Amino acid sequence: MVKGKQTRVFICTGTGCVLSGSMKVKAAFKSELKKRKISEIDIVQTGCHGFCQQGPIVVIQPEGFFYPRVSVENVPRIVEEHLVGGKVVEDLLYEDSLTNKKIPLYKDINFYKKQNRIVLKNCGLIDPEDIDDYIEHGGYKAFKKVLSEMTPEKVIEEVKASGLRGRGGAGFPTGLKWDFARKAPGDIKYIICNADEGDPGAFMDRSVLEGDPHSILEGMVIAGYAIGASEGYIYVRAEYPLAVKRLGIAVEQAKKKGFLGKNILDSSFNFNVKIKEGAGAFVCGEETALIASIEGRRGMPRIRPPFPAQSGLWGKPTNINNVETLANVAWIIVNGVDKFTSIGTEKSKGTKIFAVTGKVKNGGLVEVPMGTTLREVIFDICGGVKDDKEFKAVQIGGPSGGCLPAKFLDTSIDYESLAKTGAIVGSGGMVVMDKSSCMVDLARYFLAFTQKESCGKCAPCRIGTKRMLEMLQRMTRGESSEEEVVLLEQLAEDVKVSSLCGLGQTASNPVLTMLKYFRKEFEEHVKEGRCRAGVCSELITYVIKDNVCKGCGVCKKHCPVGAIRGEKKQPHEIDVTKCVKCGICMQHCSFDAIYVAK
Amino acid sequence: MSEQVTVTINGKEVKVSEGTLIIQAAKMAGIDIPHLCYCECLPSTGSCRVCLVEVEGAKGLVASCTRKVKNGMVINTNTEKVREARRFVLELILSNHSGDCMSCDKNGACELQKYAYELGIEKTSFSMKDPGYEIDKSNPFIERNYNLCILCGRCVGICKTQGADIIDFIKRGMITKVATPLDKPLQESGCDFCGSCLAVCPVGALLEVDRRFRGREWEMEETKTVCSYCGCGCDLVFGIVDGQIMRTTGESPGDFLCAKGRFGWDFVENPKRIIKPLIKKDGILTESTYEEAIKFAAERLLDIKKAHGANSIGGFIGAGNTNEVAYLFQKFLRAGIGTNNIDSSARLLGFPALIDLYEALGDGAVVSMEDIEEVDTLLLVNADVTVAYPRVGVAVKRALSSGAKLVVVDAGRTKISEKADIYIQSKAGSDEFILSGLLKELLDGKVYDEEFAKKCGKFEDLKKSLGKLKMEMVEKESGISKDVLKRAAKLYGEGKKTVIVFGAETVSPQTMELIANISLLTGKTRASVLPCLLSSNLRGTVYMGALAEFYPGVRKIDEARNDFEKTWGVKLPKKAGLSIKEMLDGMGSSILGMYIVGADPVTQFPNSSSVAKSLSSLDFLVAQDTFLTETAKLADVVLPGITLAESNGTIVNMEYRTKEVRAVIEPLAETDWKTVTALSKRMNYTMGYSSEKEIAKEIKSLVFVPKKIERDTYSFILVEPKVSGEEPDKKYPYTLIVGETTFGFYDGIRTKNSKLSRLEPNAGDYVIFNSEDATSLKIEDGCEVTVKSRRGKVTTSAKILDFLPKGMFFMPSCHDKRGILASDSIDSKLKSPQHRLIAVSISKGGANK
Repeated sequence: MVKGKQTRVFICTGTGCVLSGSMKVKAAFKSELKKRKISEIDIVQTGCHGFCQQGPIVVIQPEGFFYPRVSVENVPRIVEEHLVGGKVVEDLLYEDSLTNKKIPLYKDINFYKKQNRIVLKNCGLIDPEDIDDYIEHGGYKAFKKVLSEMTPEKVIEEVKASGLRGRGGAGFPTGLKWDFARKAPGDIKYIICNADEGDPGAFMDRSVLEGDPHSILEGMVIAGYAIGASEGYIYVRAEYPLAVKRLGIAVEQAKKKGFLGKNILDSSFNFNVKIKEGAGAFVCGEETALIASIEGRRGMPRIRPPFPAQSGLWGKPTNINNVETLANVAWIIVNGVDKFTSIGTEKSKGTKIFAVTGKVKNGGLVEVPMGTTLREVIFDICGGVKDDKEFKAVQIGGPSGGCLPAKFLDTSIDYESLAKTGAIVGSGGMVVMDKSSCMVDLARYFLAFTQKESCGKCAPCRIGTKRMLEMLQRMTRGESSEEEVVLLEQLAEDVKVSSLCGLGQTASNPVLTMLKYFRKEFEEHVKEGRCRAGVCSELITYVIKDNVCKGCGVCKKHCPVGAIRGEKKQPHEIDVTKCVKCGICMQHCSFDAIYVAK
Repeated sequence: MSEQVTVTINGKEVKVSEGTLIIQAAKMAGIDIPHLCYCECLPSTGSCRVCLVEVEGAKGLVASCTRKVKNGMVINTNTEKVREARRFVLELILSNHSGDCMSCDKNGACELQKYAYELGIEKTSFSMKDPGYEIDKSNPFIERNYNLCILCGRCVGICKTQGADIIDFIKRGMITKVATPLDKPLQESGCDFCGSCLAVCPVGALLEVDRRFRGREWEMEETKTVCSYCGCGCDLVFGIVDGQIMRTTGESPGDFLCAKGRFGWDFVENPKRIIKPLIKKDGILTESTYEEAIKFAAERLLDIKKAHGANSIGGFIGAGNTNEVAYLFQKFLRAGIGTNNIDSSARLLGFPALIDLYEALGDGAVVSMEDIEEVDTLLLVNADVTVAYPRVGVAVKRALSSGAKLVVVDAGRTKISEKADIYIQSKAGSDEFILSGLLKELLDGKVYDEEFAKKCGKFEDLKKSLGKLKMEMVEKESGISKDVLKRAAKLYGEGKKTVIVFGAETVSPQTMELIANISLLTGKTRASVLPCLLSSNLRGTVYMGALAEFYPGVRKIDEARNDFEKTWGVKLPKKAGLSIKEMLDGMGSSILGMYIVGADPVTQFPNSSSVAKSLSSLDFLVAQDTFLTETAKLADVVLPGITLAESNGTIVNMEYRTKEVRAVIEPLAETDWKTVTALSKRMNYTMGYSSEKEIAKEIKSLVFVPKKIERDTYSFILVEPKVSGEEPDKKYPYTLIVGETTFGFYDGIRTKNSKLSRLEPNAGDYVIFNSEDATSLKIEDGCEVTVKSRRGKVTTSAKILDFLPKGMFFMPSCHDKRGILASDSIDSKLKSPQHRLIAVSISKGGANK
């Protein structure tokens, strides 16, 4: 029996799934269905589901059967047994990491069950390249309501009442920001959507851009109506080609449907959206640098005030919101302020998306109500630490955020609570670490990033981050001193207070929190020349255990520098003078005979 | 005026205007807040973080160069917290500043050094790193040492506001640096070499190439004088070490100098200068003593006077000498020799425009550079301001950056035309049609000041004559559509504060009259013009009476003779004097002796082959100059002259400012005023001055002080538009325009004898082709071409650049043979040749072909 017309195969074509081969899977489904002359079943490409670790993801609708990690070889079976035979392919289903039970339906998966998806509501469920699909799922309803029933002031009032705060990092009240721009004198005003997502490991904006671009456009037109702008820009990284493409399609479709352009829906409201691709500078996520970049100038921040709400793009009042912030707007208008404010904490309303990566079982995008604890996200939703190792720390907020140890696992995720710990909500990057992560090395990693991305304008950020980085590099080599740890802390504080823009002012956060919570590790590096995680290559040696080594010779074969000697069937030995500490020998040893001496 | 607010700085109450920056308010209170990126002449960037202060109630420390004061603000600029933050920032900067103060030219003047000392920083707490950049020595004038650069961004800022806007930051993080697009050498990036960047650099990162290791700031003796190039008359401060010129700057870091002012002064010390007199013996100029040369010259001139009368002698003087020398020169000829045959190169450089302007509007309409910065609408007519009169260019740029609108009328696609709201690229010579068209559109569009226009004479006649003007004819002659003119008229007419800027030496007398008409039509309150002058003392030369028609004070010969006879105590000649063209025509017959001071008519005057011929036919020629010019080569006696940098006296610049000229070094030869008086004395007319000051005193007390004269009645002038310049025909189908270049100047004598020649190595020896003409004439860049006019031909090389429209070619005025081509026919009224537009034919290859 072939299933009826309503059956649709949803294949995720978000970047994560595309990289793990979803386009090939899609082609395989197409040819398989064609081979069997089945035309009643539609194949729909969707945006990101957020469960990227399990990609390529295939969902069979309308029931919502969930097939993770689908390979081209699996496709004939899914078609044969499930689509034609009507029987779920048991062994291809998702297996819960805690209970080891097979879970057939999307909604029953732990990863999704505990989430509350407002921003990601459509991601993975609609075709992002089809405006009708968006409209069918309630799209542009909010905008129509705004245009027909609400004055701009009323819109601002609603957004203010909802307590929505900027999701780009700083958490400034969105309604207030709109109000400033509305009240700023001037005929020409602009809306800018900041889609220059640059934090390493953060990809929530990307997923919304790729998976539900119209939700952002709808947020922008509503914002435009509210502040009195008739032009908007989406500043999106050129490194997100799929997002750029889908935004382009969305803008064209919205124009055709009359949601953009002149006299929108027969009103006197005009609004157009332009897409501006960024050239890859992290600092262009800073609003004044972003504006400079749109204007064709070098992306460098300038001193505020004046704030963009007074003098922004081309010197006109400008309102800048992040992707996730704008994607909340339509939901608030449709579902009402009360429903939104019922989610979250007293001061932080609604949800927040986190991009959970690192040593975690089920990484991906997680949208949870504000106020959820770190433990709930890491353990309940994401299944805990990989290989059931001990949790060591979580880095929140990317290179501007902080690193928190286990004692903070029950911290509520909201702007105020996180700020108290020295971390920030930031854009929502969350990197989970176990004992194999070295805090000194991690601090070095984040600083290397901010240092490289410093625009070079102000001395504290340009030179200060470099000097900090050099200190950390010396520490990872065991060439530093206790005095330098003190100097590092002082330097980090000074850079924080004297830098010109947010990039420099927050660049010290990872270092400062790591010094605060993991100071002992720094001291071990500089006093004992010891890296307890076994990461800092200059502080460790690889050793072969005589009594375990079987003399199989696999390590010798794989060593890229010929540092391993030994006769067949005799215990082997590593020549420390030649060893470059790449760890390849250890990865290839089948007998766990190689270990790191710290 | 904005409201006054009271702030407390370090416990002291200060009243300042609202909106003042904290750093400025502190300065008014006598408190210097350390700063590196901030510079008063530039918009603040807040990037160095050295000027941090504490503001009560503010979050963290505040950059005082960007935060404005508010009433009641309490500011502390020198607390321990502030000093600590400053120390920290300075230590960071020092950790990346690998220079050695011991051998740095900026030692003692370096602001980083100064603040490090003030804050007691012995050495940086951070590890010192040598950035390891190579020093950029890729251009001849500006050396950039990236290892000393603190990335304050002042050079970037000033290049944007008054330079060519070609540098910015490139790359990110620690490898950020200041560079041109694609990090190319300056001379390949459109740099104007104004050197503004040098003046604002707070450390030793930017230095004059030639200055290295030749003297530090405190070793320099500084003297302020006036630039000797164009009529902007910028103040120049010469830095002298051991009697040698080390550099020039403006008075304060933001003062603009152009490439000529900043790097073009070293012709003064060129070994090719004439410092000893020369007497022609057997056809060869031979060194002699000063006494001998003066005696010989005086005797020969006396002989001529005796045999043929005073009017067989004539004099010609350049328009770049001081007022004192120009005054003495004409007094010597009139009172000493007894002739009015006096002329100056002012006649070639816009004197007619000035006289016309004076008659039509009065001098009160002439505005200053500061006035230009304040206007809201500008009309530029044939004024390549950034190239020919660069200080005016900066004034225009500043006006534009404050939002002023710009209309440019110019055949050439000049740099300033790129910033124009409306650029009218008219055919060369069609200015009169364009301006007539604009007048008509101002009237028809009713964007003029009717109330004022009605009060001016001939308004009805003007309306009638413009009513008859056919816009189709304007379109045909100028190549510009009437819609463009309509838009331009609307833009200009609606301006509240307008100015017309034009190149005095480039416009015809009728064009000048049309400019006056536009000025009157748009209202007296807005009637303002700036005639740009190429020569440093053109106004002074005219006012000193170094012209056949006028005594000092622009007083007509027949009207003022009695007054001057009384003043000078001698009988003065009644006969009207001859202009230079008339003198040249009479040479060998009626004119037999000439005295030429600081001018080179063979190069400067059109139809130069015939000029050389005429001068050769003289019985006796005395030339007084700084270099052995083409004219001096023909002389019987060459007397050494001095440059403005060795002179004391005054000049009058294009804005009517009298400026003091001071000798910055000991003169290399006898001063010009002494030579004129010595020659006069030998010719039995003793003037008896003992210093330049005495001459100045006589000018001031007995004659006049140059000043603007306001007028109360005005009249329109009816002008029938004509094509100006030489008419092309079948044989000479193209128009050659002679104009200024950035690194050349007028006849090129100074620029080619200065280090500016490093940037213009072949001294302007080229002709610019647009790509269309180059294709149709099969000309490639750099190939040899022959330019032929009705007077002669010149072989030069082709340069392809889309500067002029099709059929028009450009030749630098510093090209030493351009005089061969130009026409010397003169208009009857002011006897000035229109030599900048020449009908030519052009062929590929050398002259023999």
